[in-house]
This record gives sequence, structure tokens and C-alpha cells, in this order.
Amino acid sequence: MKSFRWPLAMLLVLPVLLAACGKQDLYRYQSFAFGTLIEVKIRDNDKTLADRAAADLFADFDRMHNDWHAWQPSKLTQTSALLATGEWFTADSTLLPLIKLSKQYSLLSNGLFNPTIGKLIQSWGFHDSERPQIPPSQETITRLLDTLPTVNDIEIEGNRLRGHNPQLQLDLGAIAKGYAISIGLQKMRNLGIKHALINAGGDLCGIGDRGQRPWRIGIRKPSGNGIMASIELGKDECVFTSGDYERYFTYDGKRYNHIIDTRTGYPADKVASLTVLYKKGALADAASTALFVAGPDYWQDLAKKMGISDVMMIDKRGRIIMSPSMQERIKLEPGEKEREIIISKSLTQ
Amino acid sequence: MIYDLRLLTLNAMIKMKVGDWLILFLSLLLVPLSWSMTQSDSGAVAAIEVTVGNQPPVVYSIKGRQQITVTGELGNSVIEIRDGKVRIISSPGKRQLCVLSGWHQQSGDNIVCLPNKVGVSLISNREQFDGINF
Repeated sequence: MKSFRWPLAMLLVLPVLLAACGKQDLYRYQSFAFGTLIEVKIRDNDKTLADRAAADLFADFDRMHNDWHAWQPSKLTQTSALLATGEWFTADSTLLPLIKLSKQYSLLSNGLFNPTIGKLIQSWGFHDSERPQIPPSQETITRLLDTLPTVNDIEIEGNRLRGHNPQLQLDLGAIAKGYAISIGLQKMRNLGIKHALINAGGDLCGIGDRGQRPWRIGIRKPSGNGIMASIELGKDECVFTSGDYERYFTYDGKRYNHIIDTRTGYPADKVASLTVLYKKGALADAASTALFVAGPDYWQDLAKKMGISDVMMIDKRGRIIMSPSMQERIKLEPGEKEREIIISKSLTQ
Repeated sequence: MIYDLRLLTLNAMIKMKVGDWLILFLSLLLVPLSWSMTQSDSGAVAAIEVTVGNQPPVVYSIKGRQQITVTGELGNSVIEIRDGKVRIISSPGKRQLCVLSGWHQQSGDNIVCLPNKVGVSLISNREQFDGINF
């Protein structure tokens, strides 16, 4: 029997080896950009490659943040100033693709994602690092709404732009992060990274997986305390949430959030949070804003038009309203199953 | 030389002694045990990583009670750790978002005091979540 002892002893070691194999190292990186903390996780065997990919990403994000800043002097504010003149000018080559995409998605969202309303957002005090104190007067809002620009006021011809509304002021806050994350992940892919997750202040996109399981994301409760649900991302997928709890101020007992409804000029106030799953960061970002603004009566039709099928909305009563495909993906935390859950009609075409 | 593997295995099993069976039993027991040890997602926060600006993060234990003061771009941010939970109790940001966000205890979560460029990440040896969406 002696001859069988060695193989049997090896069996003791084998499970440990088996459990350890196939696990690539997971590297974490952090930096500040886009007015938030950016966290990157890369799973790869090559630490030097992962280090380089993260450093490149942070350098790119830093540049994009500076170039696309909506109220500090930047390429974007320069572009806004030139658009307001009404004259033709050559667009900045790094900004042009984002402006084109913003125009496309704004039209797709029936204008509920509107990247030209910088002046209206500014009037609410959200173009400042300080918390706004007081809402603008009704007179100011009415005046801004009367001449409210849309993306149709941006004429694009090749690499040239011309504005048709002097009130036009670009604010790409509802698309820039999503666009940047997707570009960042594409650059990582080009470097040979297959598994990565970028978290830009709570908006996330992933490629590949965590190893042995998909990237698993917790979705925070709109109240801010604790996790209400989790979701496992597909191989190339993003999860974006727009909520009324992140940037807001309270005046005279009423809370005003930073997501402005261009139909009224006031913050959209019928939804607590809206979560979108989609493969492209830019559209996930823009759609989460547009569907939040659309509110309980219109989000389903608009989601369908925008080609977004996985949506979860928490309304002001704390009810969960989600699409059937989202229901299949989302895993509610035990305490959350007591919430009222409504399944919408299918949003797939 | 050709062996019949089935016969060899059967022959070996018949000849196995108590000690051999014990080793076999322990081996089989170790498979699920070691698998669960490497794969389980307990999610319990083991430590916090504090990032100031673009400096490398510093790791602190989340056990017990302690206050940590870090100096960011605008001044001091004070982090409080109490029994596995963490919060910011003061920071020079005017909107006070990180202070107002209260206690955090979920691995994968981040607290960000933006104007001061101070970030606190709740980390776990076996993260339940790879990131928190909000």
C-alpha cells in the first residue's frame, strides 16, 4: 500500500492548489478627477501593465476634467463663448466627438437630457463648489425658459460649429463621466487589460470579470444609508444612477436637487433615484438623467425610445418600479423585499 | 505494459488501511473548505484606506475606536472609526457632503471629502461588492 500513500498525500495539497490557481492578482488604484474619487480595479497577471494602465487613465481623466469643466476656464467654456457669438469656428478636436454624441443623445431623449442649459443650472447655484442657499426667482426661471437653448441651436458642419442662441452654455455633467469611463476602458483593452472596473464617484463600468465571478456592485439606498440591492455586471457593462440625494440644498423646508427639468426650469422632484444598466457609459449616464427627469409617467416610453431596457426607479413613496429584464438582474437585499415592488411593461423593442 | 486502471483502483482500495482512508477523507474534506476560504464573500470591512490628494493610500484598522486627522488641500479632515463603522466628523468642505453622509460600514464603499481631496475606502479581504453605485 506504500506506493499509494504519496498520491493520497498529494490529494491533501491538491485542493489548496486548485483553489488558488486561476486567480489573477487584483490591483486597486485611486485618484481624484471629475470632481470625485476615481477608483480603478484591474485584474491581471502583469502588475507593471496594470500600474501603467491606471496611471494613463488618471492622466487622461485629469486632462478631460480640466478640458470639460463647465464653469472654470476650460476648452468647454471657450467653446460655449464661441457658440454664443453665432459665428462659425473650428471646434476643439478632443471636444467635438463628445459634443456630437451629446447632441445625438439629447435628441434621443426628447431634450430631457439637455447639455446646453448651463445658464439655467448656474442660476440654481450648482455651478459652484459651495452649496446653493436660495432658489432663483420665478422671474429669472421664466426668462431663462423663454430663450432656453436646445442642441438644435448647435450647427455642426465637419469640424466647425456655430451657435444659434446667445443663451447657449454647455454643461456636459450628465454625460462626461460616462463617456470618459468608456474611453478609459477601451484604452485599457488596447493595452491588453481584459478585466477592469472603473468607479467614478458611484458610476461604474466594467470589462471582463472579478475572477470566478462577475464584478458585483451594491446599489446604495436613496436614503444614503446601506445597500438596497446588488447587481452582477455583464462582461462589458455600466451601471449609472441619478438621485435626488447627492447634490441638493434645502430652502424654506423644501429640498432642491441638482437635476433640472427643462420643461419647468425647476429640479425634477418626482423620483428618488433611477438606475440604468447599459453597455455604453455615455448613454447610460445621459439616460439615467433623462429618465429621472421624465418621472413616473413618462420614463418607460422614453427608455424604450432610448433603447434602454434595464431600469429601476425608486419613487418618492419608496416603491421600486422596474422593468422585467431589470428584475431578472437585480438581487434585493433581504430587508428590501418588504418594499412595494411594481414590474413595468417590457422595455425591449 | 498495459494496466487496467479500474482494476488497479479497486485493488488499491481493497488494500487501503485505516490511515489511508483517513488521508482520503481529509483530502475530500479540504476541497470544499479551501474553495470556500478563497471564494467566500463575507463583506465584513477589515480596514479603511485613506487617500489624500494623489498620494499613496494609508491603511488603518477598523477595529475599536479611534479618530484619525489627515491634512488635505484645504485643511484637516477628521475620520472617526467606531466598532467596524467609519464616518467623517469634520472637514473643511463648504457643502459638508462627506460629513452629512454619516456612518458607513459596507465594504467597497467610499467616502469622499472633495474640496479637501480626502477619500476613505472601506476594504475587506473578501469584498462582498466590488463597488457601490449611487
